[in-house]
Amino acid sequence: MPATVIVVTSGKGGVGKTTTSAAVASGLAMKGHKTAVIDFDVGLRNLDIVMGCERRVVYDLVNVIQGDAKLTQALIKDKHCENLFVLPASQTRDKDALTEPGVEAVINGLREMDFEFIVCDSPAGIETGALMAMRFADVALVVANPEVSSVRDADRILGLLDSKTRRAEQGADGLLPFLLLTRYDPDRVEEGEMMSYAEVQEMLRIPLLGVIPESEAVLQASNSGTPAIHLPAEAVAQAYHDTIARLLGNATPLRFVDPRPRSLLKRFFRRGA
Amino acid sequence: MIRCTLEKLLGQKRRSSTAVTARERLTLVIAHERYDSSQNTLFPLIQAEILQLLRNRLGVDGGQASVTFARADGADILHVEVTIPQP
Repeated sequence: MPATVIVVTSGKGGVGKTTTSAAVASGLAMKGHKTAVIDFDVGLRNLDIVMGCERRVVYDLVNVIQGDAKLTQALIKDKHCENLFVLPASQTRDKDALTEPGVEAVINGLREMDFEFIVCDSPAGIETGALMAMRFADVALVVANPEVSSVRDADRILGLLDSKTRRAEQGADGLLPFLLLTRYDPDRVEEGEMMSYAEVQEMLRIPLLGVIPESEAVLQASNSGTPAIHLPAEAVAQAYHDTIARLLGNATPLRFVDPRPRSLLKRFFRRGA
Repeated sequence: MIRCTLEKLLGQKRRSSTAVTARERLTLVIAHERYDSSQNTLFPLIQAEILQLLRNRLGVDGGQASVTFARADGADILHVEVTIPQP
C-alpha cells in the first residue's frame, strides 16, 4: 500500500496544529499503522517537546535534506507507540534550507521504508515552511478554531492547497481537504457566543472530519510530553480517536458537540466576562 | 442589574449573539477574498476568449482590439475596445 501523506495546516498560529499532528500520528500508530510525523517548523521546533522526545534529538529534517545524516539516523522512535517515528525540525534560522527536491527526497525515502502514513506538521503562516509541508500531501487536515481570524486564515490556506500542491497541479485526482475544528465549546455555542461547527463548515465548504472540545487536558498533556490522545478518560482523546476512525473511512457520529445540561441555579449564577 | 436578572428569570438571552455577527462578517470577507484570488486566474481566461471570439467573428487581430480589466470606485470594469475592420 502506498503511503498517504497528511498535512496538518491552518494558516493561523496557536490553533492546535502541533497538538493535532501529535495526536493524529499517535492515533494512527495505535491502530497499527506504521507512521512518521515530520515537524516542518524550521527555526521553531516544537513537535519534539509535545511528543516528549526533545532530549533524544540528534539529527533533524534539514540535516537529512543536506545529506549530513541518513533518514534512519534522524528518525526518533516514539516512546509510547511501537510504529511511530518523529522527524524533528531544525533550529537553524535559514528557511531556504527547506528545498522542494529535498523535501520530496525525504518523503520518498519514508515511502521506501514502508511507512503507511506520513504526517506533516505545518508551521503557521504561508511562507516556505507551510508551502513545503503541504506540497506533497494527499490529504489536508485544516485545523481551525470557531473564531473569525482562524476561519478566515483557514480559507486562505484552502486557496493554497488548491493551487500550490503537487496534487492540485496534476489535476486529475485532487488533494482531499478536511476541516478539523478544535477548542470547541458547546456551552458557548449554545449561549450564542461562539460559531457552531455547522456554521464554520458551511463557510469553508469542506467535509468536517472532527470536532475537538476545548480541554484543560491539552495543556497537561503538553506539560508532560504525552500526546493528548494517550489520556483515554479525556473527551479530547476520545474526539481525536473518532477523528482518526473517520480518516480511516469509518463513519462515526460526532460527540462532545452538545451543551452540558445545567441546573437552574447554575444557569442563574453563570456570569460571563 | 435588576433588568438583567429579570431577563434571565424570563429565560431571555442576556447578551446579543456575537456568534451571528462573527458569521456575517466572515461570510463577507471570505467571499471577497475568494473573488480577489480567483480573478487573477479568471481574467486572462476571459481576455483570451474575447479576443478569440473577435478574431473568429470579425477577423480582428490582436493589434485592433484591446481587452483590459480595471478597478475604479470600488467597481470592476471590463474594458473592450475594438476597431472593426472595413469589409
